Amino acid sequence: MDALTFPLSNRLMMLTAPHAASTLMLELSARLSAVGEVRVLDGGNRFNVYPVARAVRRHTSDLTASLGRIRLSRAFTCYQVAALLAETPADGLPTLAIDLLAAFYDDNVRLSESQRLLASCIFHLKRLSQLAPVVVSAKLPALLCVEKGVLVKALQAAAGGYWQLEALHAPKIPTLWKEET
Amino acid sequence: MGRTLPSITQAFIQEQAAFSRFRRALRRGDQLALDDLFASARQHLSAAAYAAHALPMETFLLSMLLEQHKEILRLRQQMAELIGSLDA
Repeated sequence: MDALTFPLSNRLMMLTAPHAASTLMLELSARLSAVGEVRVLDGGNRFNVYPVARAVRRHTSDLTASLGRIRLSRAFTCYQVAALLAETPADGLPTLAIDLLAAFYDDNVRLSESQRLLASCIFHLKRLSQLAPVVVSAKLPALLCVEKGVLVKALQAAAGGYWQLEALHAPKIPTLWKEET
Repeated sequence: MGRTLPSITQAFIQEQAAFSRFRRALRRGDQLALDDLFASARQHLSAAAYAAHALPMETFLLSMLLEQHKEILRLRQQMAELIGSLDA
């Protein structure tokens, strides 16, 4: 996980988690922005600047400058995700792609079309990862579009490092009385 | 396309919820005083929205201070009037 909390190596890293690990990714963007410019691609409208500002304040007192070093782009369709990545120059800035697959799970987009677009995205993510670290987060598809799980697998196969975070279940509270069966 | 930033009211509710454990640990009288503070900050939500500060809690705290200072000014004025009436 150290590679994720402060990625330094130029490679494509991926993590899957509930809510696309947005809290972790926002913290990571704050951490990276404290030391230099960072590019954030938001594929699922998850970039909430308030937690980022709070996290930045923990790392540096220069809030405005630090927030100004975050280059944020939002995509609302999978076509926009592909176009954004294609237009992104490989200039050595670390890139964070939050909830990259959210738009790809749209049921109005056929699976073959999603796969075609994702292949293009993977190509560009690899291109960007040659000069700087790239961290991609995604959530697993909902039960309604479970066939799109192949997209996660494709991204996972392309990534140089892969983490899967799981939600912790609440511990069972012991009772003084014997439970009825 | 959805909203890209929570509204100031949502941010206020989230900040208030973040202090719920702190509130639970307070005495009843202190809980009511804390509720009053948040209520006073709520009066200035439109100004806080206009300020668009990256850390909205700072604006809320300033709103609380503002209401406190208004209260102090009001009490000072009442005291001056009372002293004036006693002198007369």
